[in-house]
Amino acid sequence: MGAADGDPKRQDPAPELPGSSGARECTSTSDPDRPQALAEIFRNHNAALVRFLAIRIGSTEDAKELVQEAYAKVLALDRPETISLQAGFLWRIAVNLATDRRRQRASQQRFLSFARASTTENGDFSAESTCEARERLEIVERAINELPPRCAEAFILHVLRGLTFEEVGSKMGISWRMAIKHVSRALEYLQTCLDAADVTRSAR
Amino acid sequence: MNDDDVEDEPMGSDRWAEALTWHVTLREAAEKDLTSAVGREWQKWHADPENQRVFDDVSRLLADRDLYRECRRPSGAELAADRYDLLSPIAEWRKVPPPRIAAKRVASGRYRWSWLSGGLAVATLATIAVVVLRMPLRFWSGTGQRGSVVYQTNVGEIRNVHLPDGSSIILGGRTELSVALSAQRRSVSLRRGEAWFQVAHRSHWPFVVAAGDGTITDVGTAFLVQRDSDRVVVTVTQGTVEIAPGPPTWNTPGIDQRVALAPVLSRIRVTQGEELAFTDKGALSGVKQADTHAATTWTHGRLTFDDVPLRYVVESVDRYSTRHIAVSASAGALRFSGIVSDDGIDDWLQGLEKIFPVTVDEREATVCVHLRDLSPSGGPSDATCTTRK
Repeated sequence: MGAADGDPKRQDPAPELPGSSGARECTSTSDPDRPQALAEIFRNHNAALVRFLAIRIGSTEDAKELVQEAYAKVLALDRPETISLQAGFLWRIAVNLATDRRRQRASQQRFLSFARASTTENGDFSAESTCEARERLEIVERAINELPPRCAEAFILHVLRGLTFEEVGSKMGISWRMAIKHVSRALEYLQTCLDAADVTRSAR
Repeated sequence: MNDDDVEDEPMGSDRWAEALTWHVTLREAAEKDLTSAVGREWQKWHADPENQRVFDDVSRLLADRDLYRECRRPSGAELAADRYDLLSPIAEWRKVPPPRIAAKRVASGRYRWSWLSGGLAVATLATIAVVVLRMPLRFWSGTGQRGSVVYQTNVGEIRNVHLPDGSSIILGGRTELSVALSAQRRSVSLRRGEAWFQVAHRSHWPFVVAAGDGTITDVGTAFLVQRDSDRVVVTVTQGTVEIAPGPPTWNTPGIDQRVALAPVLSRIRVTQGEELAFTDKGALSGVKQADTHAATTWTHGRLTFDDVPLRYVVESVDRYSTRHIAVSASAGALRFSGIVSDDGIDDWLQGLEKIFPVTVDEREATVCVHLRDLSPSGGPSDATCTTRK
């Protein structure tokens, strides 16, 4: 994965459809409106599905692949369903595929666990070059030190210690909703600092 | 599902909290919980390009966690000194250094920090407060030097305070109390808001809470005290307390009037599962049965009311509302039963217009609840909201 395509396309509200050309070819076949309607659904849901799967399985590349697979499975259904049902199917299938992929991963991990330290599991979202990474690190560390202490505490407990929001909340004597609020304010501030330093944007 | 549903998501207009909530949901939710309805909601939220941008920022920052593994956790003193109220983004808040509460604290001088030289920064004061709290007890009961420590919470904040005697206090939103431990007693003064006391039993060291026009003396127990503008409600969740009318006396230097007056003051015993209210005018409600579960739901961000005058309901909700809420005198007499969630206050305000003959409108920074003007001529309307401070 190269530096250029590994990044989520942040400014693009409708990322290019992987396989959209294939979908259009379908519409020119003798089969009536259904493939066209499906292509429409796919166009509308593609970016949302890719983001969902990327988060769920930890890789944008794999997510794109799974969305293709989900789309193929919906196409393979031979019952003529309504549009809304097809959108629902697409989602259900994507959820199932994500679960399968996670299980696969888990069993692979057991064999490859010693090698994991050297690979970036969430490679898609982590910084591309060590240089940029170091710069990001410096900015983020400074920003964390500038956070209001309770936001810093919630951020560290959730992001670094892996506590759930319920756990963060009970530790800090606040509701889980307020815990989310604390962490989200912290994230917002970190991004503001990164944007100000223009590291992320210029690297894109 | 209509388009308004997104607006009804927790956190209202806060994109970052929404993005984080979605991130955790999509990542962690069990397969069975990721229903088609969730898929539709996600698709709808995702359709906004700005939401996508923020979601990607959140994803990237969370994936970067290995990079900032070395970050230091704030100390207890720093946490206690935190005055950020979450209302505006941190970057904006940092540009405006004096937060409301800090400014008030310095300006009014009504806090008993006389044993400290003046002019110290608020953050330093709070730091000292915590340092003092961590010192051994003999510091407190020592040479007649009486320091009280002030604890206060911001709007919507719920805070757990552990006292050096082993007792703990949960403070509700916008609550202020001071704690002074002396050889004679552990005294707490609840100035506003509500608090749940879990008292460590010490037979010769009474735990006394002063609130409004009365004092509550604990006999080793847990109880809630809610200080409204003109009354105090005490609910006992465990054990027994004694409530004495009349102002607390330990503020008078020299003479311990409390001891002198004790025989003539009638004390009322309130035990587990009971509640008693007394007003600032000296009126007492009888001891009555209380729903102790309902009385403590605020510690989880939910306020439960059963046939409570609207003015007290509004006072309670106001402690968790980012906008100040006030109610007119006549609307305040309406009685409300129900549950208000700290993240659903706007919905609740809207709902009030449906269940009561009231209008809710926003004037400057205050939301005013008043009786709907029914006279066609626009006669004397009930538009005056009493703003309490």
